[in-house]
Amino acid sequence: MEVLKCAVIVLVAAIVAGCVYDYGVGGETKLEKSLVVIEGDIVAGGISEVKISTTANITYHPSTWGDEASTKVEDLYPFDKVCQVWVESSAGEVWPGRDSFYVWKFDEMGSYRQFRRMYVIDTRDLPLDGEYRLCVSYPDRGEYHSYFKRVQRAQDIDSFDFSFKPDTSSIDIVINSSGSEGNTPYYRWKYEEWWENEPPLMPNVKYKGKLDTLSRKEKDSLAKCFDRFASTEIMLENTEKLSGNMVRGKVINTLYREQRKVNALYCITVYQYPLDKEGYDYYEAMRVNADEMGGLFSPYPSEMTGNIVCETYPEELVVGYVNVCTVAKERRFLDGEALKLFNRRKCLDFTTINLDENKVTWLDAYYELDMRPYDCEKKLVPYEPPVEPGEPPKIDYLIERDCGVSYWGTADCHQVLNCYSKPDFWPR
Amino acid sequence: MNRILSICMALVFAAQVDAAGQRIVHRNIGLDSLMTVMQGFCRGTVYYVPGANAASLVYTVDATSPGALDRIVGVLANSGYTVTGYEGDIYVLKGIGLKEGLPLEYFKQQVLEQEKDHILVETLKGTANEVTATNRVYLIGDKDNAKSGESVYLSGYIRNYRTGEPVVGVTLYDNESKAIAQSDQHGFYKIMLPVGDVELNVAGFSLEEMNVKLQVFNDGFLDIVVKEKIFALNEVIVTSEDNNKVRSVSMGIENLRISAIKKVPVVLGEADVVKVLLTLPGVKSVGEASNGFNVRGGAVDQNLVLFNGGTVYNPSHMFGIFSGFNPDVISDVELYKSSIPVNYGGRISSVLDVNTRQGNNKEVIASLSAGALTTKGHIEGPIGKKTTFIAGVRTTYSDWLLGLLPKDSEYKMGTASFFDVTGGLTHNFNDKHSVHFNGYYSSDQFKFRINTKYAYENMNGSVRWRSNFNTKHSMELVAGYDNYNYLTSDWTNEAKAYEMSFDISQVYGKLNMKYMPVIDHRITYGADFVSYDLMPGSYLPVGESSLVAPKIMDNETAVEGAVYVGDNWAVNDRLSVDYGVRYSMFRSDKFYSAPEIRMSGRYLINEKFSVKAGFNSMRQYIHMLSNTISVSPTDTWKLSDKDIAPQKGWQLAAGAYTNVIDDKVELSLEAYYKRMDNYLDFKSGASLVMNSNIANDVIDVKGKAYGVELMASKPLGKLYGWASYTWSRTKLREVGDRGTSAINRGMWYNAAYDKPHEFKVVGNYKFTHRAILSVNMDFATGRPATVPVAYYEYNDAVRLYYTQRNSHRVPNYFRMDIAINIEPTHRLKAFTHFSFTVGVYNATGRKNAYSIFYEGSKYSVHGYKLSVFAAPVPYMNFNFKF
Repeated sequence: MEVLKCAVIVLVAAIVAGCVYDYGVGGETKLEKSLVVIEGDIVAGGISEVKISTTANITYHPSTWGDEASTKVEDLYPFDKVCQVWVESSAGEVWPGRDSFYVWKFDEMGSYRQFRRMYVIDTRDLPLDGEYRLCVSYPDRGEYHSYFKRVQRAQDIDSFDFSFKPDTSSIDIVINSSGSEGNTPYYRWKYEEWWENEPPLMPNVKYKGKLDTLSRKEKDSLAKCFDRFASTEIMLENTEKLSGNMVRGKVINTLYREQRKVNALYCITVYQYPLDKEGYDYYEAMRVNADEMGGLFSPYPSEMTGNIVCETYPEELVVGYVNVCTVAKERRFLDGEALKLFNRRKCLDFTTINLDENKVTWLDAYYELDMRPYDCEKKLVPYEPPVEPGEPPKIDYLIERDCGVSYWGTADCHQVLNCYSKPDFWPR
Repeated sequence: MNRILSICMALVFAAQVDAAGQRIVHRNIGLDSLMTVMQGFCRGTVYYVPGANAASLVYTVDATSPGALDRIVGVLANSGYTVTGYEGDIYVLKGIGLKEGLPLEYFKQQVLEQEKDHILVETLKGTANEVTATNRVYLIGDKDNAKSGESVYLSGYIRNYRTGEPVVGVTLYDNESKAIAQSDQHGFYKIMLPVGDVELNVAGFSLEEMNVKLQVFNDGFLDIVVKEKIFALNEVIVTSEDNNKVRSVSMGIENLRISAIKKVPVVLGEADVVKVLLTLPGVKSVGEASNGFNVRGGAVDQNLVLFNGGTVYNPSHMFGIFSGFNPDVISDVELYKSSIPVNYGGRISSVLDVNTRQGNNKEVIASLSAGALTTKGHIEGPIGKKTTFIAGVRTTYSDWLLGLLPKDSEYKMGTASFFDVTGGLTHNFNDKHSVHFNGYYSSDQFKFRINTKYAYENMNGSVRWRSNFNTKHSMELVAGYDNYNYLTSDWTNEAKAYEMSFDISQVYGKLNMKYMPVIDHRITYGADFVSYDLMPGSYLPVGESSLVAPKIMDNETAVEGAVYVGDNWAVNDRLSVDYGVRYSMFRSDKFYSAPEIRMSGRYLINEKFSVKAGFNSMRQYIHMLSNTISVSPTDTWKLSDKDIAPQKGWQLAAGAYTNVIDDKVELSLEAYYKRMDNYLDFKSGASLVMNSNIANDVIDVKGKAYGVELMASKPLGKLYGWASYTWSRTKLREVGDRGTSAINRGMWYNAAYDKPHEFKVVGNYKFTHRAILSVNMDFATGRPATVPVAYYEYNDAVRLYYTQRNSHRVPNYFRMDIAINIEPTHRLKAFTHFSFTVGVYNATGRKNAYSIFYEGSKYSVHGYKLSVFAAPVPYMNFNFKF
């Protein structure tokens, strides 16, 4: 079958996956000195957030196929060095920045928390008619600044809605925007999602030596967490070839009914940035490097050259592109619970095999029961609570779990799900 | 012996002549009178020598009945006389008659009965200027006006005995005077010979070698019919063609026989001209599914691909999987890597000249072939006595394979197809003038997803007039039209639904003259022009909801012309030089012109060993724009203008050539150094599609290439084929002052097709005449790749940082293909002939890397390798000939 599959794929000869295999991370070329990475935009009328980090060499694994080079993203940020960051106008005005911690978050593998050092600059009162640049003083590295740029005015977001597919298997989040005279034809979007997280099984009882019911407060604490996700994809649009400066039917994101995001209340906030040609080319090159490698007609990967220079060492390359613009923002909520969107698998009744008088017909597990995490493949988890001398015999509970997600199946979302604090704008 | 009789008076007594044309019967006439009657049937003179019993012979003939001459011959034969024709005269002699050469038995050769009949028929019909046998002496020119002490011209056509088609590349050589000539693509040859007795050696690949005996008096014309040799398998044939490379002044020329092309196993069993080119030293490609080829470090667009004189811009199907040429109609393929003749121009790297056959002029024959993905057929034959035709068609039925893809594959509903049609018509007015019409059309269409479409077409049409004015001058005049266009369409998003197209057309004319003033000089001169009309792109909306603004870029027009003159000069027995100059001109919105020098020389150390050197400079006024590693479907072409200068290139080459092991093996060693300037590359991230300001996004690049090619070839025998090793480098560098933004900071970097070591073997082994095993092996250093050197975080994701272009290499490439060709029947008189081929492409199943790429995540950087053919690909083809 592999022979036929390869022959067919080659026959089509398009940008197909072909036959793709693991390949060791190669290359003996390394950067002698890491490059400074400055990420952020000067947002006129808002808060400008700037992240400063460095590049890290890729560790070379030549021996076997499939070896990966591990990345430690947290090591990219100079936590021991505090940079000075400010916005400067061509007229000499300065808007100083201050450092702050970025949000901490869990990653998919467990309770692994990452910290980012981020710098914020209050540019809410930035005049729209000036030219501005971002300046960074990096201890032991040098002085950096972007080129002066005028404020690009963000295009209007005409509409931003959920579009349900006919078979309701997925939901597209679609944006329509347009620009008027004075707007650029280049668009860039980012979005941030928030959603309520509920554990796979809703707890009703707790066991601390004995079975007891949970209070409302305890239930809410256990059963409701908040999770978030910020887009990583480079989303761009170019309306140069269109008859008007308008974007129609741009799909920002797609939700699927199997995703826990649509289990309860879901929220997406989209940010729309205008770009000039130079900025568009920069992000397009970044997008191509990430998304268009590995095909039969792939371009060469680009060496990213942004608009930031190092005053101290002019030959030094700096990674990053600083845009100066206003930002358009829209937010929408989707009540998945009311729309019964989530395609949850049935949680079957629990049965007990122990004839103890304390048997129950269904049960979830409170964390003090010390439920072991289970493999999604296993649908039944035996439980043996500790038995004190003189205590009643063991109570065994056989529980069927929802295997629709990769989360661990305990009732405490804190244990197994990301759990951010409720955002300020959350309606309930 | 000869005695001219005045016998008219004798007829008065025996003949009953009716002036009104009534039946005339001669009764009881003697031999003398019979000769007189016979004279009436002949344009020439009847000579006879009466035998001892001539006085007693009487004959009665009806001179007006049909077949009277034949009956007279028969009657004379009964009387022991043999009638022989020679130069239009009739000789009636007792016994075996008049012999024009030594008896067949003298050479102890077996002559086929068929061949004997052929000679006799030709002789009686008076067509004595065609050589069909080697046991005769042919008179060239008028012996009464013989030139003494001078050299004269002998010209004519070499034709295949079986099909009557012209045979290309046959060598004619005179050992005494060292005169040498070769038949051109129309089978025409011209050679200068000394007056007197000449033994002309005629040899060609897989042909019966002939030694034609001539008595040369003056300029003359002589057609030569050659036969294919049936080899005994254990016979090793040494032909004078083995010395071709040694003797030829040109270097870097590869001549591919269509029979060799068909034997090399290639992917899916489709005989492929370009794929076979890749088995030759100095010819590379970026990868297996890449379009085009690279010759000695040149880019793909630096190769001029000619098909019957017209330019083919995209000579492939299915994005490079299959060649665009139908092998059933191809006559020969020549690739000029180094010594490019002065009549070629327009590209700076190489010339690939492909021509179709003229068609069998004896009978109509056809063939049909079916493979895993394609089927093709052809038909050819005569129309009357002076016209032949040939036509071939090829198509694919690949859609059913796409339907086999898994349901969730986004390509399952796709379609992919192509077809091409090739046709030719040749009319020979006489031995001096002929006209040839050729046409070619190919079409490819793909629809990978429901909402996308891609299609491209090639169209070529030409008419060629050939004339041999006299023995010194011949002319070829060609005019034609070429077109290449493509179209892409995408309506996934209704608001952005578009259709984009590109089109280039050219009208051209070429006049090529050949002149041989003296024996040592062969002069070529002529002129050509090309008129370009290029539509860089149109971008149009599709559907009512599309917001696409229609845009049609301004057409580019230009005219390119050249005049040239060259001379092939045999300085002495050992030294020959080929030199010439071509002055090319180009006008668009700016005028460019420059001379192009072509020089090469050969020095014969001895009959089996020669050394050569050559220098070429070239110009190119049209550029292919590509920002992908390999040629992509949406690459376009751009004419030079005030912002984009022509490409320039020159090449210096030297080589040594010899035959070893009793002339069974040809060895050659060639070294070259090449420079290219004004080659176009793109700034990172630049878009070439519908770019009105392309000049702002292109980068001027210069290149250098150098290498050494060693090749051993054994063209004949039970085991035959070739093997080569090439060491070469190709480097590019951005010109200009973009500082740190320049590609590789302005330093030299490896070209995408730079493969320092290449070892190739093509071998065929004939178990029997019906079964041939073919093996093709290819080893090469992995091609360059750009790999990330660092990672960083941006936009909440790990990004990879790339710096030096092509600093890394993918793993080395190795592939072995095996095929067996079986021809069950060899009966010459069978109505159909059937053969089939079974083979495996990439028999070892090696997962050769076409490219490598990387993805970064929060936790790791992962590398991947894309293999085009990652498993053995078996195939089977069936061929029928009618």
